[in-house]
Amino acid sequence: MAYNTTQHHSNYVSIMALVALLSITSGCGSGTDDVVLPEPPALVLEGFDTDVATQIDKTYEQWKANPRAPETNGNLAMLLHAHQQYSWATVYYQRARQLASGEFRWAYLHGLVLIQLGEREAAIAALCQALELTPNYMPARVKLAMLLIDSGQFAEGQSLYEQLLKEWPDLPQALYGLGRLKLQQGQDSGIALLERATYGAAPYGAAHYALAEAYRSIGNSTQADMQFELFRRRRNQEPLLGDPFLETVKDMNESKLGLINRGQRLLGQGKIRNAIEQFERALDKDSSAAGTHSVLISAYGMLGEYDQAEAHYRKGLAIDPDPVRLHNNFGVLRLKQQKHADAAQAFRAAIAADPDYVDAYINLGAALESSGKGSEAIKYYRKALEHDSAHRAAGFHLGNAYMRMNNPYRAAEQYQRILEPQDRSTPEYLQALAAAYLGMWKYAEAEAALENAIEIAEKTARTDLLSKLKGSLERVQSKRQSLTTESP
Amino acid sequence: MNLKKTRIVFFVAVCSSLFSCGLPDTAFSIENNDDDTSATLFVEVAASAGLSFTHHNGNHGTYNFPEINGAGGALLDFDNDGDLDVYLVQSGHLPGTGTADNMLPRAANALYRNMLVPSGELIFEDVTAMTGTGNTGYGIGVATGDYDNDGDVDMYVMNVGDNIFYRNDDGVFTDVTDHTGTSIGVWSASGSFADYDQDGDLDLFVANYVDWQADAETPCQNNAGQRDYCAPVNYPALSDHLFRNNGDGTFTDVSKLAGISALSGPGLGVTAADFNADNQIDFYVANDQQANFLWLNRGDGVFVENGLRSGSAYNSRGVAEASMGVTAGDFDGDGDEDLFMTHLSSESNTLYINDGTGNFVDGTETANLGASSMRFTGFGSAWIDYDNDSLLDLFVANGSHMIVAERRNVSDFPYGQSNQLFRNIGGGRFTDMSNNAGPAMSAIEISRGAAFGDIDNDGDVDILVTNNNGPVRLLLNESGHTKHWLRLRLGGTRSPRDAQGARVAVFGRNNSTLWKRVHTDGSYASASDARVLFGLGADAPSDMGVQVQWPSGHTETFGQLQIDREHYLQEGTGSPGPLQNR
Repeated sequence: MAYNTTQHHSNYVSIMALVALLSITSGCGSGTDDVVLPEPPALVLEGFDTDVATQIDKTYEQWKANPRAPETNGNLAMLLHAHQQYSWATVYYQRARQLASGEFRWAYLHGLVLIQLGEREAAIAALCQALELTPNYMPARVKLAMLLIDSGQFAEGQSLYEQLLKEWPDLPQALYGLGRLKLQQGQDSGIALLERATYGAAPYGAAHYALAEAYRSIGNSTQADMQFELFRRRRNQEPLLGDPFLETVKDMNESKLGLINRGQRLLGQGKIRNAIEQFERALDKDSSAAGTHSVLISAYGMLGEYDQAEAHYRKGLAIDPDPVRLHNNFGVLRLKQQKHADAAQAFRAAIAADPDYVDAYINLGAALESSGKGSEAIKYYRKALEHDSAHRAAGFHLGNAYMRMNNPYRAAEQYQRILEPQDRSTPEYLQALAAAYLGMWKYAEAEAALENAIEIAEKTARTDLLSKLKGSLERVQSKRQSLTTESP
Repeated sequence: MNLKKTRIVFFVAVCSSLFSCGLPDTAFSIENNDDDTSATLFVEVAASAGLSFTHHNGNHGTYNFPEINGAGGALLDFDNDGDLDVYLVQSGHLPGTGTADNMLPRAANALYRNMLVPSGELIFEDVTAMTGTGNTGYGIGVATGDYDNDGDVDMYVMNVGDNIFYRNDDGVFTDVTDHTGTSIGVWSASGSFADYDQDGDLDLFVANYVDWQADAETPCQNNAGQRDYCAPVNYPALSDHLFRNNGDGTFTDVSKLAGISALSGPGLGVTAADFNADNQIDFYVANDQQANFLWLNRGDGVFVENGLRSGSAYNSRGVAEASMGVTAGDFDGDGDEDLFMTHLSSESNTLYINDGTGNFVDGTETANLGASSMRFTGFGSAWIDYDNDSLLDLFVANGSHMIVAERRNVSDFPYGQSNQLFRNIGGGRFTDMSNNAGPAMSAIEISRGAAFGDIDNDGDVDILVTNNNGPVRLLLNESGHTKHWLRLRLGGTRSPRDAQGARVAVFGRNNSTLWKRVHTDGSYASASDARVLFGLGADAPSDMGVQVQWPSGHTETFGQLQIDREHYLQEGTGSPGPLQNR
């Protein structure tokens, strides 16, 4: 999520007005003029990872050399924050804030630590202070809005969310937060906001859950069930907020977990080489982490470094008692190398390791299709659906397989099954359904499907699909018109 | 579209309106809502009363997962003398985990007899040997209930390994695990006795945790790269067990038939109640870092899991929290069972408010129970009315699951935290009383289990707290008995003899009603007093109307009962009987 660090005058004025209001109601901005610094805790690092202890020791020594410098306090606080030593970090952040009350990052990062410690009022005060200094820092505004609502300051939280949406109309976190608040206030506009939150490019499990509960509360059990199902599939997924200050802190964590988390984030950003470096360092600390080998198969595969990927497959197999993901990722690697038989073998091994692992059935189907074994592929897509009848990707693959076998009737059946609930994938499913209708000579139905696809693509901001869909619609309309003209 | 449900934000208003319609604040005179004054609400008396038990978890630096979980205890009147005795579960050295295997004697569970009746003094004597209750398995939890309807309370002890079923025959216990067919050889944590099939005897639900094997233990590190205990996700979760009582002293494992074994989850707490008001006993299972289960009883022997759709599996942000202890009770006075459960630090404890149909909303924040629990890892907990003002309060036993930075300097096992007490101040809101409750509430220990009951028979609820790798604590309530109360012991005839599952209503002025359920389950790994204790406030009438909905299905009125005393209510009699007649 990109955010704007320049200060728009009108927003600046309104945010400052809100912060001023919060100053009165929540003690916002108070507590920074105290010249008495809190006593720093002694840092006992016994048992810490050697690299982590060395890193903290070094920064601690710098602090000891200059204990009243905001930078040494803040740097030490960030390092402790990175390693989740919150009760220590809060003291050093507090000192940094008092020593440099004009520095945004100390107030902001302290606010985040105070949230972790459950010190909500102090966190609100810290975030208010941060926003007085840098009013437009979006992650701080999102977190403050959430905190305010959790603390019962609904009007202030609502105002913050509304300001955020003026600047970022599709910001999922703001849509979600404001949507929940509206529903709590009995306003049905909350549902539309939550729907928009779920339409974003990144899956947002919590928004599906809130939407499901909203539908349940108004007695719409069908929609509620659909949203609960989407939540079940996406529950650990949420859009990234994009918070460079927090990311800087996280990047300071040199423990195995810190390295793996950093690697995952870099992988998500497409920085594959950098991600691999972090994963390899994590393995240097603990070579028994089988899951890391599994990720490295994919990462090296993305770079086309197949030997390295295969080496991690072998290493992972030697230590992993539950190698289903190793087999699956290796299968995907072989598929990428167009070694379809090897890929199929790996997917079969994954299924043998865990007969409930649905992705392996779908991947096996894809491998078999690539080998020209369409009928057999259909069998595995069907097996995927037997394990999870609501699996939309499985239904889509099965529909596509039927289309390739010139059976648009069966394909249309599958596509129709996966149209609800609507999300960003729905326009693609409708496009496929339109193609199936065309195969059945049902031009009116194809036209309706494409019109529906365009409407949903607009609603879900699928701009990448719009021109293609509109082109298809024009061609279908033209063809239909010509058929109408030709008929006697 | 018109939203019918506005309950979350307007909960305070809704509750206020409910209460003004006749619930507690007028009926049971809650005139004292000040929470600023410090007072000794509880005093700790375990050692001075003769409870000398210390729990050992067997840790010797190798971070075996069961060590961090601790064990529970029970308050039960095993000898039927009218006072609560204490059973404490011991863990000890964990077999297969190192050099001490052949060096340490196996530590045993312990049973302490309360000498209050007839001596009048709260003194305990260790009767483990003479009662035959000193199981030496690596103990975790205990559940209590009169499964054989013979009038004395039996125990099911849960271990990492083989569980033990103790049948009580006039105060002497016999291991009937094999005979009853309730043997489970995995890690079980909590159990619940309940008559789910309404045939007049108690069935048994056992919440199992994870498949932990000593030889497969893996080293885990925290975010500072420091060796620490692993999280439950590192181990395969187990499915739970449901045993149906055959009525002849044996049970049938119906886990598969009932649908319970279809799902796996790391269960730590379980409570039985009719959550969706269909007159069937359901089970709620608190799972650690996975979605909780709400097993709804269809009435035909089959249960359907409805946690997700009921809104009680995940908190309002869709997060599956690390649920440890769980308690069900009608905290808002609307006649249904609300759920409260305890979680890890960095998560809050969570309050799920029942709408009367078995659908829940997360009301943690509006109830003011969120921020105050963020720094704590909670385990045992219960809805209790500690101040007898007629509103259900909450106690939470806390102790960390991961090294506490501040404790590194002061403890070899640095996981200690203080416990918490939350007072229900009406209107659906709570206030944290922990800092005003006296030193017993501020001790830094690794508390795990908590059992609740009136151990000194003075009309208020006391708390037994079990500490991981530490001494047991007995918190005597010093303030509750200054208000009025009513304690009821129920006896089933068509229903199970100890009447577990019965719902009791006490009618106040203005048609107001307080509801409680006869149960011993809930909390974490522990079992509580089966008697129901109602707080009635400072200005209650001298007698109160009581109605019982028996598990057998019929409802019975017991007329006006005199307050500030205990009554024995036997099914089918319509009037209180002598207390000796149990």
